[in-house]
Amino acid sequence: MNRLCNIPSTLLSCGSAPQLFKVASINARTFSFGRKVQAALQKKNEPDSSVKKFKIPYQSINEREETGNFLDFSAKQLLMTEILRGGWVILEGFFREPYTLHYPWEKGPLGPRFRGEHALRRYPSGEERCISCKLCEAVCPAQAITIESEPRMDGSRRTVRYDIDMTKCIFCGLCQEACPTDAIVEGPNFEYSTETHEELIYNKEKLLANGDKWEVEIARNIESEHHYR
Amino acid sequence: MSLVRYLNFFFKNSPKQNFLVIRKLDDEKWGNLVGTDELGNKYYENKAERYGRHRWVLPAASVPASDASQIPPGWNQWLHNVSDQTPLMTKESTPIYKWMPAKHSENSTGTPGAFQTYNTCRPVVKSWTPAVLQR
Amino acid sequence: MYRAISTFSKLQRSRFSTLVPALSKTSSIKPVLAFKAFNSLSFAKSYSTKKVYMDPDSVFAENSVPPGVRIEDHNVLLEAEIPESNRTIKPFTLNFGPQHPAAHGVLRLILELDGEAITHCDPHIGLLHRGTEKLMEHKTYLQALPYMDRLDYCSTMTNEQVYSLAVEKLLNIDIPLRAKYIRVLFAEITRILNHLMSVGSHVMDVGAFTPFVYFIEEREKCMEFYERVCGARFHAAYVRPGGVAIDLPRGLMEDIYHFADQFPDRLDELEEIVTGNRIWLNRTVDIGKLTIQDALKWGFTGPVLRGSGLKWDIRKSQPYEVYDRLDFDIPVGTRGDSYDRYLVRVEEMRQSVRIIKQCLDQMPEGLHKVDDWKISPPPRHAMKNDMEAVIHHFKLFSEGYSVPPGETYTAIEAPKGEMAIHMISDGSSRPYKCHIRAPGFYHLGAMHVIAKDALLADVVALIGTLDLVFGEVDR
Repeated sequence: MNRLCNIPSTLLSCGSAPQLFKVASINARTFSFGRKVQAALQKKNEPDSSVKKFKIPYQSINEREETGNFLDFSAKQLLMTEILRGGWVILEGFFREPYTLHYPWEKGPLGPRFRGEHALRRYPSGEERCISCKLCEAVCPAQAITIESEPRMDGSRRTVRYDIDMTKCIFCGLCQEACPTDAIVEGPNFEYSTETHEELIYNKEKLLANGDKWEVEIARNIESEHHYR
Repeated sequence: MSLVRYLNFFFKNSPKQNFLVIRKLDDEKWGNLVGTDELGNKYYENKAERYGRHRWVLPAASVPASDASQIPPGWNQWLHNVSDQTPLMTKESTPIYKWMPAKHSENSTGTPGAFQTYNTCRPVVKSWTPAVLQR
Repeated sequence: MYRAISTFSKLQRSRFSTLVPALSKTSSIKPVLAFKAFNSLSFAKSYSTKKVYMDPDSVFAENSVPPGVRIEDHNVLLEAEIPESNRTIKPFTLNFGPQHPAAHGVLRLILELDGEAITHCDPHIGLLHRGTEKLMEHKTYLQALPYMDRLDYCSTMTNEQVYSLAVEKLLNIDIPLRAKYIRVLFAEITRILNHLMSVGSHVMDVGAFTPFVYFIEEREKCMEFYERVCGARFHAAYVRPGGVAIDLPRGLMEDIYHFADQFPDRLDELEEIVTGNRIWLNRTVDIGKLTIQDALKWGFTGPVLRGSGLKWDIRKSQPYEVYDRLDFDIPVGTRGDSYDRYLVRVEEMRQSVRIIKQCLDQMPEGLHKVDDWKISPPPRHAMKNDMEAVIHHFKLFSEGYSVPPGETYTAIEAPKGEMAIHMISDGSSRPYKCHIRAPGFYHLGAMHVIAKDALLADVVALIGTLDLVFGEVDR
């Protein structure tokens, strides 16, 4: 290595012993049908260095294949074997069952951990879970959440403002991790695209409405994930 | 393969179903009817299809009016392969609270019912309305 | 890169200053030289015997005069005064991007062309600059983590990994073995994700659309693993200082194994289509050749450096996580051309599959994050029942944890090269300074070395071979 490229030896020695590396042998795999034959021919013709060498389209990092056999070379060039082989793979793919989903009516698989549109949840009694501790506001890296709170008529502290700017949100999921009462969650819905920017500035009522709408799924997702949390 | 699949499903379906499926899904699909939701969307399953394409919905809405967000929660979860249980199976175990909306609503953007944000707080500063005194 | 360019132009000036007197002595007509600030040496050489106009309107005109020469002296001759035979063509300056579909984002290149050959190329970056490093100084260590996802958005989890390793080094903690294995498992899935994108788009830039489409299918599978483990397909926020956010869901490892089983077949398909294809060979072999010396001089790392033949991989030389327990090989190229880099990437994907399978086999039981409530939040049930846990929970998510004062340079082998964090902590809960060493930045900075004497059509292929993602170049 040193001899080849004049690298200062310090550069090499700051790493590890070179024997740690095994240069991966990238041998020709399925596609080298003609290659074994070529190799055999090449071996036969090996010692004759005066013969003009032809560069064969090669498949290996380690060995750049050349052949002295003009027939090999021209056969490969004229018959376009590698192009035909590639075309065959494409043809196979053409008859294979397509991978594409017809999206709105077939939907891709999701997990229960999916982080989609935000929702504020309620207790079964209808009481909102959010206790206005403002942890989500504190942890939000994009500062998308704004909370203001006041004591209610019955003396309990609840938010009067819970705004999420969905255009600032980066959907990192830290708010739902921080929430001690599982009030703010990122629900399973991602089909909430809007035509205007204003519609994406959610206030408390919108978030609660989201929670009411998706509660069935949110509750089930949290239930199935409770072992991990 | 696609052609074989297409013809196979075509002859399995009834003509009316064929018309609906091809018109609404732009593809030929055949499967067992798993259930119908409150909006009239029909959910089908065919395990022989490739994973991901094995569950689908035939929307009740007409082609121009149909939207991806018309799938109600529960069915949405089944369609997304989050769970194998349809809402029909989990009817007993899923509590219904009175604060839940009675009917699923689709994404209302672009319609008069689109969400418009507003302030949920009482204004901190009261604006001064000058009153003119009688002289 | 800016420093690189300034030294470069200095070199030019010294060259020109020796050039000018020699020319004026030999030629009968007083020559007018076009000094362009970013002219390459070969350009100067090829035009040194010819007389070239100076374009007084050139934006480079003011910078282009060698020291000690007044610009007026060069503009004295009008076009008419120079005989027809002495007239030559100026080099052509071409703007490439930032909206070019092959520019992989928002790259803008100013290309100086001599005919169709590139004499110099000057990347203009910063169109995607978001000030991540500065933003992170105002975030707690936990809050800064999602920003790492947005750097190299083709391989998100390795960005988080290097950040987490840096913070862990400053905290001086060791994470559970299971967490390390999960990280390595997903780092290798990330490597596959990234190389699928880079090889696929590289092949597509050169003209083959089909492999890209096949690769998107495989990427989709990988991103489903992402989604199942953390809830997001790209911006994971999964690897955290102290471990990973949440344990692997049941059944995921089995599915990853199925994926790893079938994935090499898809690579075989790719190789069948592309590797031996003569169009591909013509477009990549001996294009963008890079010697090891150049590669080291310009700070190349990763597959580009290995494509040039240097046996350098941080996973082997300074093993982090559990790479020293795993058996895998590092492919190394011999020629340093685009084709070698492609082969190295393809082989790295195969090695990643090997690592993934070993990780799945050796995955130990245990915790997925450190059991220290000062660093990682307590589990939900503890938080609901234990006052101590609630306090820790609130402290962690509001103030964050304090990191002892110190400084670290932590590097990992990201799919694109050496991704590193130079982090300085002043003992508070926010990093004092967090410098991100993104490999793409250095690769792009040496674009003119690689693109030298290449043809215009090769620029697109060269951008592909450097695997540039502008989230990390511009940060």
